[in-house]
Parts: sequence; C-alpha cells; structure tokens
Amino acid sequence: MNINVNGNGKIALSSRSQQMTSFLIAVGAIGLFVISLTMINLDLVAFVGRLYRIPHILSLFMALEFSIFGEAIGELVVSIAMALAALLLGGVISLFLSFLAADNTAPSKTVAAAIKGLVSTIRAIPNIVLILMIMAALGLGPVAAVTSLTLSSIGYFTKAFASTIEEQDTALIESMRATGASWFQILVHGFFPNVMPSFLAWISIRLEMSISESISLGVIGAGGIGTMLSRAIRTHRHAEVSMLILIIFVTMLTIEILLNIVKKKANT
Amino acid sequence: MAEANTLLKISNLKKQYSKKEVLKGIDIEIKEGEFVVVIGPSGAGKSTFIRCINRMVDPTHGAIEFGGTDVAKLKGKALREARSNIGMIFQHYNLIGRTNVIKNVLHGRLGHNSFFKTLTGSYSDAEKREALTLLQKVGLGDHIYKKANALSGGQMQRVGICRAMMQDPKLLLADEPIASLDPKSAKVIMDQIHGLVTERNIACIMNLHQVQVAKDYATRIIGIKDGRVVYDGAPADLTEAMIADIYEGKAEEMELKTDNVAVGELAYGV
Ligand SMILES: Nc1ncnc2c1ncn2[C@@H]1O[C@H](COP(=O)(O)OP(=O)(O)O)[C@@H](O)[C@H]1O
Ligand SMILES: [Mg+2]
Repeated sequence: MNINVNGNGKIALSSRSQQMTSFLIAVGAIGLFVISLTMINLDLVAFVGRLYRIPHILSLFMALEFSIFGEAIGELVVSIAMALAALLLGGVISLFLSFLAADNTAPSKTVAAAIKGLVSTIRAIPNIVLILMIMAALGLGPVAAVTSLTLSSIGYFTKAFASTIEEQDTALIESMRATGASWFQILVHGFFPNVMPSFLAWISIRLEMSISESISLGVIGAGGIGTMLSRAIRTHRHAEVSMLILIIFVTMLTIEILLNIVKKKANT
Repeated sequence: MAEANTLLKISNLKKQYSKKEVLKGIDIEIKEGEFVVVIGPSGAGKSTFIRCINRMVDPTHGAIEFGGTDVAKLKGKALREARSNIGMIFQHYNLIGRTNVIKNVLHGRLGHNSFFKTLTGSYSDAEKREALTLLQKVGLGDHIYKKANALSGGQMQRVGICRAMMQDPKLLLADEPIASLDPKSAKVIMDQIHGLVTERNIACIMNLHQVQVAKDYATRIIGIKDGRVVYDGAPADLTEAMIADIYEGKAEEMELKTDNVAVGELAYGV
C-alpha cells in the first residue's frame, strides 16, 4: 500500500482514490443545487417586494377565536380516532404479514418475497401521493382516510416488525421445532415474548406519525380538525386558524411528552 | 438390558451441503436405554448426524427408523409427532429468555398439545405438576417464576433438561450440552442427564468432545471422523491409540482434548 503524501509534503489521512471520491461528491452536490435553483424559477424580486406585508399578516393572526373551541375538540377527537383505528388495523395486519415475510419465520419464500415487494412499493410511494390515490378511488371522507393511514402503517410496521423478528436468534426456533411445535406455536410461545417490547416501541413511535398524518389528511378534506383548519384558512378567519393551530400544537406536544414518560417507565 | 429392543435404526445416512459431503453413509442401531456418546474432531459431522435424527437437518439419503416409521420420509404433522417423542438438549440451551422458567419447561408439551389448547397458555394441572416436580428434582424449585435469561448457564441447561424430559421422550439427543459450562456445572449437568435417562429408560445420543467424560458415562462410544463411523463399541475398549486415530491430523484438538481430560480429572476426581 502506497502512502499518500499531499502537495505540501504532509501525510494524508485518505488514499488518492478516497480523496477523489469526496471531491467528486462535493462537486456533484453543488452542481445539483445550482441546477435545482435555476429550475424552480425563484422570483426573488417579487418575494422581497412582498416582505413589507409580513407585519400586517402576523397581526391578523394575533387573536384567538374561543367560540370554536368545543367544535374543534370534537373534530380533534375524530382525527385521533381515525389515527388510532388505522394504527390498530395496520398493527394487527402487519403482525401477520411480518411473520410471513421475515426470513427466519417465513413458511414460503415466494409469499415472503411477495409481501416484501408489496411493502417496499407502499413505502416507495410518498405518503401524500398514496393518500390522494386512495381518495381518488374511494372519495373524500373518513373511510378513505383510515384506509390510506392503515396502508402507510402497514408499510411502516411490516418492515419494522420483520427486521425485529429477523434479529432473533434462529437457535430459539430450532429448540421449539425440536419439541414438535407447529409454526403457530413457535410464533406464539417462542417469538411473541421476545419481540413484544420492540413491537410496542415501534407502535408508540408510529402513534405520533399517525396522528399528524391524520390531521394533514383532514386538510385535504378527510374530516377531523384538519378539515376545519383548511376551511378557516380558505375563508380568511385568522383568529380561528390561530386557535386551531394552537390546539394541534398542544395536542402533539402532550402526546410526545406522554410517550416519553411511558418510554422511561418501560426502560426502568 | 441384554434383551433390549431396537429403538432407532439408521441406515446409510448421508448428508451433502452444496458441494461437500458431510455424512458419508452411517449405519447405527440404538437399543432402548443405551447411553451413546459420539466423539470426533470438530467438523467431523457429529452435529449434522444428531440433527438428522429429529430432522432439524434434512438428510440427503438414507433411512431413520424410529417408532415404526422412517423419520427421513415424514412431513408436516407426522414429522412434528415424531419430534415430540424425541427430546433435545443444546449447547446454548436455547431457552426463551423473556419467558419464565416453568413456562420454558412446559414448552416441552407443545408438540403433544393442539395449537388452540396452547394458545391460551393453559396446560393441564398434571403437566404443571410434572414440570414443578422436574424443576425441584434439578434444584430449581425456588426459581420457577424467574425469567430464563436471569439464570446462570448451568441453571439454564437444567431448564433445558427439564424441557426435554417434559416431552416424555423415548430418545434424548444432546449436542455438546456441557461445552459452554465450567467443569463443576458440567459435572452436575452430566449427572442429572445420566440420572434422569437411566431412571426413565430413555436412550440418549450425546455429542461430546471430552473423551474422559464420554468414558465415564457412556454405555457405548461412537467415533465419527470425516463423516464416517470409525469406532463403535464399549468405552473400555477404546484405547489411547484409537483415540489418537480418531483425532488424527487434528493435533490442536488433541491438545485441547488432553487439557479437557486434565480439567475433567480435577472435576470428576478420576
Ligand atoms: N448449514 C450448513 N451449510 C453448509 N455446511 C455446513 C452446514 N452445517 C455444517 N456444515 C459443515 O459440515 C461439516 C460438519 O459440521 P458439524 O456437523 O457441525 O461437525 P461437528 O459437529 O462434528 O463439529 C463442517 O465442515 C461444517 O462446516
Ligand atoms: Mg458440533
């Protein structure tokens, strides 16, 4: 191995080819940035020209409309309910799919490959596109919302669960198989006890994502507090918008704090 | 024991992994109540051989007659039923770490019970009593509700023994059951396995790499070298020259083996 000496006579910490790779990556990244900038036609003049309106617009939002509080909480409950329904459905479906898909528990390689392919497809489609596709098929409303949230949960859970299952020691399966236990018995008695803590962790991480997705879905018309928000924005009722954003903010913060407490409890 | 019936008849057993033939035709007959120890250098095919018997590994060729059927040909439910009559003990114990001790022992009943019965985790009172009796017998009566991963290696192996005994097997397979244990725990484990199989007239096939331990417990020793049986007879007839031949070309392991004999002598007071 040759030692790479820089022009100034000092020993370099990377080989020539490593330095070359880093250089090419840097040039490529800068190039892409410049190309992107020119392609999106940033109209900087118009942007700067409108900056003077910011204080005025901000002042419009400096009020809270309390009369909608009751209705907003009702709609918030709808949003959370949609998220929870999707979480539960997606979780249960993924539980089955993940055991069928994980390398060490899959009863059939073909089925496993099919499930993994399907899940990768779901994950490859950006969530918002997935949601719009399902809305186009099922129409606006809670059914479409729960369906699309469930699908994206399945994409998330099946991959996460399967990777947890694959981390399990195959020796455990061997000892269960040796007693004459069936596939289901091995899953229930051998795997569940070991993977459940990780699965619960995945579910709690997903809970936050699911609720925020559910609210975003509302914005494009699925119902819940998101729908209320988009209506308020369209009709320029700034005080209502502020109220709704505040409620959403407090909700997400509360959930995060609660989850952190639960996680701490679970770890001790 | 002279008139004992044949329990297991293995004929021309072969196993090939992609290119490599690991078992090259093994013929062995095992009678009820025999304590057979398999010795041989590492890579000889001992684990493969023992795992073929309960089909943890599928043999490429040959017959394994056990309980009136050829295990090599079984599939699905019939295979699971055959397995439920063969206990197995592992080097690394293979317990479910987050599950408690008594539940791990009761896993030995899974093959005998239907899925729906075991789904609710409900075992019969007789089964639970049997599990408790076994655990008390191996000195774990005070630990039945402990998580398996909270036990020491020796304790885990005792749970492994109880799990295998819970199957009420006619045959017990053990793949290097003491290889991960200190000499003192190893002796406890060997005594317990030996005691239980003798008391219940269970035939035992065990892989070991400590020749001295094999001589202490076995009623019969089988030497496997490069996928073939090179010794099959009484422990007393196994001479130093034969041992040297079995481990021929594995000088390192000979040393290792000699070390183990030394340790074994300490522990067993030979
Ligand atoms: N799953 C497998 N795939 C390929 N080769 C294997 C596999 N299992 C074992 N072998 C090979 O078979 C030979 C015998 O292995 P094994 O039965 O474990 O020997 P032993 O238990 O006597 O040490 C070894 O050379 C090992 O590398
Ligand atoms: Mg081995």
